[in-house]
Amino acid sequence: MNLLGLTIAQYAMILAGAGALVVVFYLLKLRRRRVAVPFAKLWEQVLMEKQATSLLQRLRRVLSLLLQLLLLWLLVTALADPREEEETREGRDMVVLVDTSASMRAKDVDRGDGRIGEARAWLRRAIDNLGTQDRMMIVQMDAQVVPLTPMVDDRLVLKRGIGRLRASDTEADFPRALRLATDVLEPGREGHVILLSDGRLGEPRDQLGPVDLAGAQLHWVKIGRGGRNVAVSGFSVRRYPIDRSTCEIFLEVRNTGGQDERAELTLVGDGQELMVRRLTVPQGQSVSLTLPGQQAASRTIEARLSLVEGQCQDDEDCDQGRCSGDGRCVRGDDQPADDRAYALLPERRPIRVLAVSPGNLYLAAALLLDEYLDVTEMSPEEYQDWLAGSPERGDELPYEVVIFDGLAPPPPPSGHLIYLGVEGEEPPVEIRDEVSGGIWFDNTQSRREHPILRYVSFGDFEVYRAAVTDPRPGDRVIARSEDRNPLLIVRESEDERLTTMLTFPLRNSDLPLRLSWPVMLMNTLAWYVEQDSGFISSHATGHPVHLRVPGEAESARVCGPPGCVEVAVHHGEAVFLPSRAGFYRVETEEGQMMVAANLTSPRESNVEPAEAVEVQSQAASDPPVMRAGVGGHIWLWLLMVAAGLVLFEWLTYHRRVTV
Amino acid sequence: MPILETIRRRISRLPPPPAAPPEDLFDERFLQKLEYLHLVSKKIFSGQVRAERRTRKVGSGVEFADYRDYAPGDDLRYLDWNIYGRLERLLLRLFEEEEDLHIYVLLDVSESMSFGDPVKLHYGMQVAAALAYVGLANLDRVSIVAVADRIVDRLPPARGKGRIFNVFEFLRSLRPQRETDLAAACRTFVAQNKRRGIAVLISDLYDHAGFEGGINALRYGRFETGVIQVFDRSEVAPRLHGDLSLVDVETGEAREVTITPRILKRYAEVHQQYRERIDGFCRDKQVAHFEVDTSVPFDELVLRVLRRGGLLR
Repeated sequence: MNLLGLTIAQYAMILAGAGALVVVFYLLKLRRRRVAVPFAKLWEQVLMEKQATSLLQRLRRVLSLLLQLLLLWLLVTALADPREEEETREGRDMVVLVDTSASMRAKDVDRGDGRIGEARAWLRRAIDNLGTQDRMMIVQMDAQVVPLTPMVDDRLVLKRGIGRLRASDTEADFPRALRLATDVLEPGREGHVILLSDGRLGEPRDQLGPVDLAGAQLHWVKIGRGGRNVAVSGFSVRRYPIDRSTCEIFLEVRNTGGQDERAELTLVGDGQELMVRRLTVPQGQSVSLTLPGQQAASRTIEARLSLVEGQCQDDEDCDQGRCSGDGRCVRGDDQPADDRAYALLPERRPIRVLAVSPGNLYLAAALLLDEYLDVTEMSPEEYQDWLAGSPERGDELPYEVVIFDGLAPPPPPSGHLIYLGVEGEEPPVEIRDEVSGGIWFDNTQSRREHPILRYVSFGDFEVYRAAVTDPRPGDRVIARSEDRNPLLIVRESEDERLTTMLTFPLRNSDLPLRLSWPVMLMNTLAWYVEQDSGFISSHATGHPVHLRVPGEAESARVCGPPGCVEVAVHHGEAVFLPSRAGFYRVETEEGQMMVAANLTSPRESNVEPAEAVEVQSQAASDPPVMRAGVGGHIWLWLLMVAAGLVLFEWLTYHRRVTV
Repeated sequence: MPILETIRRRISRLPPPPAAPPEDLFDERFLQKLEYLHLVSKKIFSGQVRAERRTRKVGSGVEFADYRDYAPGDDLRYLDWNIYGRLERLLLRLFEEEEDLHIYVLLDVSESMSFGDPVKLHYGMQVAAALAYVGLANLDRVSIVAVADRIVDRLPPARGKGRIFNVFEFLRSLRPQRETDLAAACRTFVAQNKRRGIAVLISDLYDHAGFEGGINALRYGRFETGVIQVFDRSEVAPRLHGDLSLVDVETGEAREVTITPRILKRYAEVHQQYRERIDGFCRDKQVAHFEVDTSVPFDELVLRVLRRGGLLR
């Protein structure tokens, strides 16, 4: 037992001084108050009867003095803050890295709140048993490494830090957490890094190389014991380029558990259940599904995965699940984080198109393919009349895209343009000459990466007559003939007007007879109105999302499964980190966009805890001993005993037991 | 010796002696009450002849009082020959002698009388003054004697209402002092006063030697004795608590005690027994005994004394 509050000499001096004071006061108290009475003889008669009890009285007086001295000893000893030997040894600095990655959401433990709950419970016990000289720091470790507390010995602060622990749907950034821990630990003090994790952390190595623990001792508290899990390991949806009302779904399901599983896949589109399918996934293997021709969803699609187990009559027969219509129990697996995946379909909205044409069946047919096109057809004469009257209607043109079929009249004040042939009253590009007969596209010179040319092949096209043009500075030629004559030119003007020019009239080629013609036209229209024609890729949780937002907003509001946050917009991009899988809505004053985020990490889907955690070829050891017992509360017990004695004395005095 | 007394009190940590009696002790209102008492006494004893009182002194009066055995030397004129003829015993006829009544008020002025609220001594002064006034108004000879362990002071016998102011002046001059020794004081009183009469002892009877000695001395001196025992309620149920050293105000003896409710209760019982013992003694000895606490108005006490009769009329 050691004293932390006082030295032995101080303790002895205070005890002796105060004890002497108590004795002096006690003796002074023995000089009783003198009270005059008229006839003491009567009192003598009373006191003679009390003589028999005088011995007991004296004993009580001695007891009273002893009680006072005992109270004094209790108080002075409490002031001295006595501690057990174990508590008073040199303090330790402990950085507790709490794995809050997706794998810690697994429920393969006895506690209802899963692995993260078990980590919290361990932390609470550790904090309660923290030595007086020990300090601790709690760090949340997932895609971000966030210190939840400073390095303190204040139990209240540490327990508040526990309350802020939240498991995410991201991978743990183990190397970064280790580097933070080693940076925090002070040299010269005993440093410990304690991992609360299932051990699925990846290699302790980053771009700077392997992490050096710098003398700190690494400990690992293994959390989790393994269970059953099927995961949506891949999920994407895209529209068909030609028929955008339908889409195709690709999905991969992986069994990371310890046995073959039968799973139920549910697809939900725009909140409505689209399809339910059962599939068997062998242990450790994946099953891929391609679901073509899905028509029900227009914006969001969600895949949900459940385990299918034994037979049942009703829900009561199924533990933590439901009884399906075919009498089988359906329940979630031990890892809920990877049971759902999310995908977005390109947003559809009507595009107002003006087709100025003397009459072109191929053009009209292609424009009919997309039901979201609001097409107005005009003859060249009607266009001239319309154009002449447009200023009276204001500068705002009601059409987003104007297609000139084989003519080049003066363009309208705004709106994107498509020229099917550049010859006419006001050619959009300078025409030097004209070539005819046997003009072939040169596939090698086409810009295949341009959105207009997605799914388009010019391999066997022939153009009978085309203009020889000199593109303006800034124009991009994305398709040329074999003699390098520009055949397809795009222009992005400073006023954000987009222009696409075919240097030959549609009828002067066999392009309208090919599938590439309507595809190219749809691609062009989609590019103009910034609509991805077929596919929006989902984002991976834990990785930053850079999303270009419209307008010049300085901030955006991002709302998703974790809640809503305000993020800054930098260089036109809102950057945020999706920590949970799901749909995120990014709102600015100009409008809003949606983003889907998914957990597709095999490491996080693996619910089997690791066998060992190694850093620098050294295995992490068991956690350091936290001393149990009353801890630093001996003084408190002493005070309580003193209070109890005072209460006892008060009661006995006022009940005249001790007087 | 006031200085020595002060030193004694300081050493013994006794309370200072009470101040002189308050100025209003014998004020006009007090005089009115005395006059009222006189009128009441007249009403009670109407038809009495002034200064006529049958004394216990047997002598040459005309009213037969008693017989006693003949002793050689007695006046043969008082032998009752009829008795001798019937019983063959020589019995002497005794007659009550008529004379002026002497009333002696013995006021205890010992230290123990300095207690109480009002102070017992001041209360005793008022009672003594009232009795004296009634006696003076009845043309009796009234004398007041201050006693403690001896006779401290005395007012010579006087007669007539006009002397009441002498009585007041005498009483005002009295202060609590000395211990109580009623036996010694009464013996001295008896020796100094050959003229018998009524002796009224006003005291708290807190006498370490025993209250009986003083009363017996008066009885044996053939005084018609009455005792007015004065006490304060705080003496019956003192408001004391805790660890105390109780000091006797007269002897200075100290006794340590821890006051508890049980002890207070026991003390009250002992005090009650003491008072009962006094009352029993007086009843046995046919001594008129009046017990009063100072919360009772003095005139009420005097009326009680008068109504009971036998002591004054």
